[in-house]
Amino acid sequence: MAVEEHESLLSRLCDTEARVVFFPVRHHSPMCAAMVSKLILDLRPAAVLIEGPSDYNPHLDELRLTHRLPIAIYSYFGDETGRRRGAFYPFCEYSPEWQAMRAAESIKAEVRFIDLPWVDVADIDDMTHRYADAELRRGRYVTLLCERLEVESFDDLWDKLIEAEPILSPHEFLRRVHSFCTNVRVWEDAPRQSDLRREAYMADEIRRAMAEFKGRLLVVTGGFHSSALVQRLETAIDHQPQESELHPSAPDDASTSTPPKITDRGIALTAYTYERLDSLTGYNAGMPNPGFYDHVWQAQSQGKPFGHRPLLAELALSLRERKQVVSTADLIAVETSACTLAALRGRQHVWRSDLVDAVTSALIKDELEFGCVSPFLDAVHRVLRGDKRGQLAEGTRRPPLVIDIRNQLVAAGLEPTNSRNTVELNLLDSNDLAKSRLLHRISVLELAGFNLKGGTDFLSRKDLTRLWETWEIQWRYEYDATCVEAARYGATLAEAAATKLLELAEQHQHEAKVAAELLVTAARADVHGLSDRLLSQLETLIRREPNFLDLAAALGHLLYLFCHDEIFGTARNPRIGAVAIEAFHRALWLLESLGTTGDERKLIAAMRALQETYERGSDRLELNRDEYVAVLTRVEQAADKLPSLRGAAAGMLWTLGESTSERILERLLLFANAEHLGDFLNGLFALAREVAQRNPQLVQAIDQLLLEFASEEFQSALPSLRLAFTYFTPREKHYMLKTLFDSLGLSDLKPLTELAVDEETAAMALVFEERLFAAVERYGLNQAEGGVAT
Amino acid sequence: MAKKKAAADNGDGDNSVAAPVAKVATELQRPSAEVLYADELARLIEADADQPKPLGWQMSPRSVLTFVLGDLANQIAPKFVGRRGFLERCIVSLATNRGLMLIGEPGTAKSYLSELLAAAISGDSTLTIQGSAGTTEDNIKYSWNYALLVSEGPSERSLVPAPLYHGMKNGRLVRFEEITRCPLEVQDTLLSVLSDRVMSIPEMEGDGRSLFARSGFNVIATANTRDRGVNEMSAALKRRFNFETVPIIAAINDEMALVGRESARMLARAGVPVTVSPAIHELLVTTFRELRAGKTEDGKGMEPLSTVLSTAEAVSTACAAGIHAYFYGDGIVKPEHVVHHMVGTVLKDNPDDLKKVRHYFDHVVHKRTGLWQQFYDARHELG
Repeated sequence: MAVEEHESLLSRLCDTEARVVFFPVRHHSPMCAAMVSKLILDLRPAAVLIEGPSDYNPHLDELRLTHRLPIAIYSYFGDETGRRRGAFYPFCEYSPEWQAMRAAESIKAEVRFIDLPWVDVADIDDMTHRYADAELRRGRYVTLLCERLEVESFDDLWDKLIEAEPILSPHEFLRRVHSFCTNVRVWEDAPRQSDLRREAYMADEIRRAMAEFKGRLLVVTGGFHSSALVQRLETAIDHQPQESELHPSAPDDASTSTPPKITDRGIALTAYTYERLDSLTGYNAGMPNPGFYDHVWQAQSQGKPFGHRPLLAELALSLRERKQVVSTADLIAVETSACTLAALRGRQHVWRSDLVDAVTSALIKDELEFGCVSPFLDAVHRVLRGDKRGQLAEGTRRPPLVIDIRNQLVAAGLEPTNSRNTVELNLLDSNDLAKSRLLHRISVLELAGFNLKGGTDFLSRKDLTRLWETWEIQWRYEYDATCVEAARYGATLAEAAATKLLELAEQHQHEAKVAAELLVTAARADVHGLSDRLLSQLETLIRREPNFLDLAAALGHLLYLFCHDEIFGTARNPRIGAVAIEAFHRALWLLESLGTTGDERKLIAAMRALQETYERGSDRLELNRDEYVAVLTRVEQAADKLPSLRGAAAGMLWTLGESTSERILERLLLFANAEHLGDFLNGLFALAREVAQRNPQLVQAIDQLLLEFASEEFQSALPSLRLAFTYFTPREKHYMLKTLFDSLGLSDLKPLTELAVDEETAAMALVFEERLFAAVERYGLNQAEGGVAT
Repeated sequence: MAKKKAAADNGDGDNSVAAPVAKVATELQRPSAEVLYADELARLIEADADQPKPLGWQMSPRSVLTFVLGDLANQIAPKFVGRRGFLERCIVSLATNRGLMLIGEPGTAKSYLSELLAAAISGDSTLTIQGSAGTTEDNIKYSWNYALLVSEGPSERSLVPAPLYHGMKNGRLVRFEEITRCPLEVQDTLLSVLSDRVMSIPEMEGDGRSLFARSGFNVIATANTRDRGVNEMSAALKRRFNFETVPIIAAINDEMALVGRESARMLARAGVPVTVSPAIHELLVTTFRELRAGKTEDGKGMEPLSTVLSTAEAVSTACAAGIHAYFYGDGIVKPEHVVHHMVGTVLKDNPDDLKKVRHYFDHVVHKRTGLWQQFYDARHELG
């Protein structure tokens, strides 16, 4: 674009005398909000056209009710493939779109949303936050401008240019924002298909409004679109070439040419929270720190200058609530640093990043590890995030989720009533299974009045002979409220349950075991179609999990879902399989780096999980046998590992056929002391029960070793030996003893003879004998005795 | 690290920026930052003569930032790779009544950064206390010339000032290197100095009893995170410092460029005409980053090593591999040379680390293609 052309475009954009005035916004910017209502009151346009979903136009009156913000317009649809998706258009008090509506209402101007409904563009645009800043964030222009203006990121850049400017005239504001956004647009390589499609639609809507209304029009859209809209509406070039872009035939976009047919769609208001608004990241991110900008807006709308002190006070309180030490001196230091940082950055007020940096600088007394959250920073972010939660006014249409829940409960005959209703379900019956899934989804959402009283425990899997559940259902006062609150998770029960589960998984950011348990819950609630994200979350957690036992537990759950499940329909699910492979390999690595302590019983259980995974899964999962064997061999040989672990590894190798009974006997000699023998055998028998009982030599060797033990040694080895042999059934033990007796030539296998004296006397006799032999040995008499005997 | 990096930047930057440096650099083995960048400092001081500055500073905080991060338009060489917000915080800490504590892994250029800041703010980076187990109060505050003390009694003439005394008297920044290596009671010498800004000299009489710090005095301490626990810092002293963690270079491309530049320079200085190819650099830097973070570039978890794997270590590994290839090979650096020298730099004396590196080779390197295969094939060099 030539310089003159660019200049004339800019002066057209900033022209407030024209028939159609373009107002550029960054969504959720308080400065834009203040400016747009000022401009509307000044210009008194006939209609205000806003970048919002045009399929919401019939319901615009709902937005005039007395809601408590933040709220969002929720647009959702389902297609023929059964996929359900939804997107949000969130509004806060300080949203320019919201203030534009309020101002237009006050001068009785017409308000209209002009954006293409999301449903019509969802096939090529999957952003679920429709008021995000992705198009402003990307690109070289922003990077270069950040460098030039000496700021770190786009958010700081915007603050510097717009928000933190104390006195900005409307004209200067328009010029800055238009010129910034136009430049971002010009520097972009190629506009995205979805933007072109939306802009064509918006241009058409503006043309329609021009024909319909006599007076002036104000078009409030993202600044990124303003220049494109002017060009579409006012340059001499006809729009044919661009219109053709609406139906792309590019071969690489095969999916866009025939999007799946939409089966049902809807749009409704729902409550929103600042927390949700702030948690969006990547391309879905909008303006960060809503609590901070809310504060800015409050000060601005009360005509007061902005001050950071209240935020600082809130921060101090929140830190003290978390039991962090923040002295008055510390607060002074934060305050001084914040003011100095603001001055260094050329600002008159302490701003967002100054506060964060001041706290980082003055309060944190330890190294900040990459990716770890410091309680101080967390508290700052929480204060800057704010805790406002929206609430819909009475008389708003019910959120779709509430209707969906009611319909499903009625269909299943499970509506809560005033009297307590106990429902017993047999999970092998398909009707009951459907009910169970419905109830599990409801219980994931924590709706009041539904309790699982008992049933098969799918986490410990102790008794899977009967698959059943008992639920108690009763209407409770909080039921309605919890339903409406749950609406933020989605429009349908299945979707909401999936989102909630994902949220739970994110709360347990470090525990793969918990995430795997959630996966089992997801399977019970039958949301596994939507649990792809849950699985990828689990995959990340597995890669980071440092605890072998927890990981093995997670592996156990995964294996159950993949191999043994009969009712959830997760068996042979390739995604679960892939995660199981990941868990298996990670477990091998953790196994190798295990230390010398640990609960032996749990370790052996974990080893069994590994063995089971390999045995059951090796034909269906790509498990690397070489690696498996190599790791086990190293563990078996490692001198620094626990005897039980080494025994377990030896047993696993033996079962695999990678070890011979000779080698096992050799190993046995290594552990031939009272302290370790039992532990080693414990591990060995737990993992190689089958092979062990078929090898009479092993029992003989153990017998040999035990005979060499002194009486005290034997007694100290006894408990763990006894534990080791509990892995065999009585019949197996009988068989083992029989082979032992046979090999020793003792043919009569009969119970021990009854003692003629009582236990106490026998014990005393044993002690006496023991002492006698000890004395004999001390005086060197046994030699002589031997001599006499021969 | 500091030394290498300082010299590298002037070698790498615009010639006209580096020109005055070359002359000094040939005379001294390692000139201090204020000598090396005398010209840049003079220009910056002149440019903001009328700007408001904190008392006792020779330039405004904004110019200090420009000096460290560089400004190519005004021919100021960039000297440190780091985020702007982080540096802003460091500089602001020095302008307040708290000291600045730089902590981080070894080899993250903490000392170099403190040298640059001292040079820019006070024009003098030589007031340095080196912390060690043997550091005493005398090394920090002052001691006496005993001959004069006996003949003349305590006076300014018989007092031998140490860096802290100098800094307070003249309003300069004092650098305290490796503060956590000093015993706790020696560290605590700083307590009264940092809070009351006064040092008492009980031997002297009259006005000489207290030395009040002039404006411009402050302390930059460095501590490395691997040594913490040798001597913890007292809570009282911690309170008087603002802590800043110096991060490891975040972008792999920046780190690769730095390693390439540095190793080439070191090889040139050693008179070894070998160039290490970018592919080898990528291999080396990727390996270091993955072992350091305990995570592969595609996000799989591993156990991080207990030894330090700083950028500086990567440079010396590359350099050693180059020298090895020149004298004992055909002059071409191959993956096996890298493996060979990783044993010395990476593995040091920890047998657990060897196990982890072996695991890394078996599970990560093994699955990759290209040069990585040669890298894998040389794993027997690990011992």
